[in-house]
Amino acid sequence: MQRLLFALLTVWLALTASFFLLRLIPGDALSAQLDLGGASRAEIAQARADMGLDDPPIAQYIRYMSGVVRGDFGYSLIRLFPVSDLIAQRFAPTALLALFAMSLAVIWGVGTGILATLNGFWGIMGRGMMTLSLATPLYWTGTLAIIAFSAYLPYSGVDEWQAWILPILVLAFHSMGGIARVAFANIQAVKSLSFVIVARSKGLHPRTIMRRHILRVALLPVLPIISTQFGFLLGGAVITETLFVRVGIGRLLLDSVIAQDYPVVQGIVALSAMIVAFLSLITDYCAYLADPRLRWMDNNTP
Amino acid sequence: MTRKIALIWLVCLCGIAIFGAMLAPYDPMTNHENAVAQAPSLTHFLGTDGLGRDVFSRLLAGAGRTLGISAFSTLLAIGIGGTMGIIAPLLGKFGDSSLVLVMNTLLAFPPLLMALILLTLLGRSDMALIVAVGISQVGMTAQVIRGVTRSILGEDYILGARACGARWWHIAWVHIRRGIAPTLGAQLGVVFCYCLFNSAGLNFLGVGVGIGVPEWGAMLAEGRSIFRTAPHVAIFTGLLLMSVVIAVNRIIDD
Repeated sequence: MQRLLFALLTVWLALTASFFLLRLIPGDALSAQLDLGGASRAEIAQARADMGLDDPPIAQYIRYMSGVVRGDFGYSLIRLFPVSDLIAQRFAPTALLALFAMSLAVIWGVGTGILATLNGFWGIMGRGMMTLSLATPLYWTGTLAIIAFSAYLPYSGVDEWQAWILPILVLAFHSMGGIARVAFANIQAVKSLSFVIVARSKGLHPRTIMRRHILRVALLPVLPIISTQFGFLLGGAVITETLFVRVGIGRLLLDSVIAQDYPVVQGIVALSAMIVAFLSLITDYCAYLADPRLRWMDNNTP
Repeated sequence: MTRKIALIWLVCLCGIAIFGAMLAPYDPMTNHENAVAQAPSLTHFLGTDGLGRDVFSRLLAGAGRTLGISAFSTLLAIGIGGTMGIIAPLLGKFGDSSLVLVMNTLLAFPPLLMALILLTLLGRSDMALIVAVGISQVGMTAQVIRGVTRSILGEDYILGARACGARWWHIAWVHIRRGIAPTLGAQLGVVFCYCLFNSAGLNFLGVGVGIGVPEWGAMLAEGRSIFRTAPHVAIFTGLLLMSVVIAVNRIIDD
């Protein structure tokens, strides 16, 4: 309950900060757009007054926040659509891409992390793959993938299912390294803890020890990483959608930033803050369910 | 052994960053019209790009801007985030909670998204890029440093120092500064890599430096758009970027 309040407070602060920050920018899309269209000064002033852009910032802020509570994020300055519609139209491709990529990245990352703890050839392969994933920027692996596979696979748009393969693989490879690193470090650390030594001296099979004793505890810190990585994926969406010429939230954000269309930028910021806060709540709760030590502490603290 | 190679390579890169423009065999902005999008050859060591500019020269000339922006934004992030992280646990319960709230608010924005928004606010200049990319890493740095500071404060020797009547600034300066040094060093490397990715990423998106300016991220974007005729542009630029990150990671690994 306390955590939930804290999360709501964070989202509210993030919204407030971005609201006032974005109001500091001189000039906005409306003036620029009308200027280009040859509108007169009076017409621009009229349009601004109609949209309430001349009211004192506090009044605008109160109006905006009361809208947000009702799920209304205002209107785009240039696209003449409500922000919530614009985002809703583009939400599915981005969310699906992030979801597929993240699921693959978790499996791939944990697998690589386990592989990396081994000795010999497979260990070297695991560690090499981890290093590569961490050391290559998304926009480069993406470009390489396009260079290598553009002859065999469509890579742009969202209509054909084949066009999803490359973006998913590239994004998953990008997020996999961070997960693998945490998994690797934790397995190494947990291996030498006393309950593992007890399990080993009981004569349990190494694979059983790995599965039942080590992995359960060592993979817990992976959970919070997943929620941060998800945040990165949202940021990464800007790059992926540019790279692979896709429709989505990231592309909308970039276009809106360039056009100084604040209400849209603001709406996307709000969305991403909510998603990040929500995910960290969920991952915290999962960690609580999965680690017997955390539950024990909760029941036994005086 | 690999550590030594990494160190030598980083020193070389510093040299290239400072003197790169002078070492370049061609002018990075000159279009060689009869040699457009050429594969690597003896005259053009790493080939030419879509406008016939020498890729090797552009990589050398761009090193200063790319690495410089990342280095300065790293210092900014570590400066602000590190101070926040050290101060927070020393401020008592209320001060600590409010700083944690600030950190969480910063962390609610994915870094690239935050940098993108700040960049709109600050306009397009190298300085703006430094500030935008630096600020977007403050939250993470502060969180990491706060964690380490807290664990140091739980040690017995801090209790001892407190019992001897040490003030908080004495504890911060003498005990925490020493205890935190290894983490701070590692964090420097980690944040540098993120800053490098993000500043080059913003340039890749075309919201950073102006058109045609030699910079690795912008060169990757050019390489992406001409990948059919001249894939070597993107390949070499990315390899260089990767080599920097691998070297930095190798150094901070121990």
